[in-house]
Amino acid sequence: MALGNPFMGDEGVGPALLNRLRDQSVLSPQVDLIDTAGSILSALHALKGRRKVVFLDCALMGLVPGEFRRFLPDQARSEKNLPGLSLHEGDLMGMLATARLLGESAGEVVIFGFEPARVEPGEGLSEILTSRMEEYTREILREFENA
Amino acid sequence: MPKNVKIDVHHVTRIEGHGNIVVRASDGKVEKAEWQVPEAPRFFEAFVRGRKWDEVQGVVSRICGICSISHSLAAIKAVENAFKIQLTEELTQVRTLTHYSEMLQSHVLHVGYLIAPDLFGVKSVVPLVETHLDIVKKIVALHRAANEWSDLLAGRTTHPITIIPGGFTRIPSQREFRDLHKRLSDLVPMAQEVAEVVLSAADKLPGFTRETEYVALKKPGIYAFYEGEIATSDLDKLTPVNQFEKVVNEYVTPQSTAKWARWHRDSYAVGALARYNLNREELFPLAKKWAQMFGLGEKVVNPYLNSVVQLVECAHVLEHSLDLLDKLMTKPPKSEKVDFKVRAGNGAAAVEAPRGILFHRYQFDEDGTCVAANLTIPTNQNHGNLQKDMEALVPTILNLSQNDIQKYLEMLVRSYDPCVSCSTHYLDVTFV
Repeated sequence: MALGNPFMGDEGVGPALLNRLRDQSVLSPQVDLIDTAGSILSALHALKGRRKVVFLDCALMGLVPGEFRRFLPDQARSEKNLPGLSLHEGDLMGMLATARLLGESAGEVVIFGFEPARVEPGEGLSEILTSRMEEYTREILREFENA
Repeated sequence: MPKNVKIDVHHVTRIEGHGNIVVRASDGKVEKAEWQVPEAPRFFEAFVRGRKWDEVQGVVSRICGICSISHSLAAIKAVENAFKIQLTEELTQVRTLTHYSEMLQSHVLHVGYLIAPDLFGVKSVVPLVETHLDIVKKIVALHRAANEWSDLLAGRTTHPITIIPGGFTRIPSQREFRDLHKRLSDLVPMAQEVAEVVLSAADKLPGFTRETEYVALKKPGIYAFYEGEIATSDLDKLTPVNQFEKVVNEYVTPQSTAKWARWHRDSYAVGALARYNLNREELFPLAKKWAQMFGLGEKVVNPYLNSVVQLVECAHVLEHSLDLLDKLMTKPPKSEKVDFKVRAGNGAAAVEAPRGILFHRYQFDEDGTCVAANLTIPTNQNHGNLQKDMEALVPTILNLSQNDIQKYLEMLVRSYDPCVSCSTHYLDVTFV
């Protein structure tokens, strides 16, 4: 499940990876590729009833641009401080916590965070992230080896 | 009473888009009470120039992520009017059903996620998960169901792909209509429970009233959403949609990047309240029952009750949809679209978006290329009325604490369910 805005530079890494996975057609029919179009509510709705959900998102983790981490929701804390529910910006960790409280989370949730080099208006990823797309894809595909 | 009041809300939370509230009062006298819109213009009316007739819908649906179906329908109806395309009764029924999916989705989102926190004294819907788990689950379930209903009819929840000039690229099968009928039937008791919870907290809504002009679509025999002509509460006559520019009379104000509108008075209101005030007698029975349950009379002039009327409309939309599905299962469309010829023409159309009456107009040349466009959005029609409400409300609440004044003003803005980003569509600019 991709989060992010493809018109904000590296914030679009999630949708870019999704398109790459779709083009490669290597995933099993049991796997849905979902672009949430930046809507955290769409992500919430799509969680219910799923065995496993892998989120792909740009994340500020204090790493070197281009680095990525695979982690579980309980292994990280969000530093986002939103005043409330916004229709234009969501807190993934907050949404996942809400989904758990509602009893509507997926069986297993994994998050891939990609440290951006550039988050600003404009289409296309930075050179750093673009150069590592194959590596990212390989790691994501590992999650679905038994799907 | 506070001697001096200084309120600067930049920006109001729990609305779509960005808007500011600015209030200044000295010694109990209001010097300024302003609703400001600082959103950047969107330029959609420029984007579509040079685009072909079959591209327009795809572009303008991007004006909004919540009412993209309404924008698509208004655009496509305008194209159909320009090319003199007439749909069959069955295709019109499928269009209405598609439109209703967005109405339910948007109203549930607004009342459930954006308004409910105010009713229960919390900052967002998240704390309500702990105190009202059952109802939050029902709100989420209703919203999810409405999204999936949009997926079925429009191809996807946001930015529809099945609606095209002349009809659809795909009509659901009879089996899908049957499944949808079952699904919507199951939603009715769920929606009832949500309405009853809102009713239990409705006393938190301020009792402010202000008479204004109300404008909405009207067509005899139906509670108009998808079709009709332009009605006003100020006169007993309908204006053809093709003359909408004479209704909206858009103008620019210094405090807003979105234009304002006025007709017979300084401002008018569009949206659920306007639809209710002009079409109340056409509500389906359950909706009328809910209106009674909420104590809504023949005319509602409290803007805070817009959200309550949205719930009443949810009941109507569900009931009417079940009726439409029965009709479509008895007499489905014979084909997905009608034939037509592309020609030079000018077409205007209107639908009721969740937030109010939405107008689109396009001019096409003989190749079907768009050469001009004019869109008037519900929220920009409401900005002026919101300002007037604010001016009338603030003097009556100056005796409250500054926090409470701010809270009531934020609630007032939210009650309009504004889609602020949609409203800043295009400015004609002359540099001096």
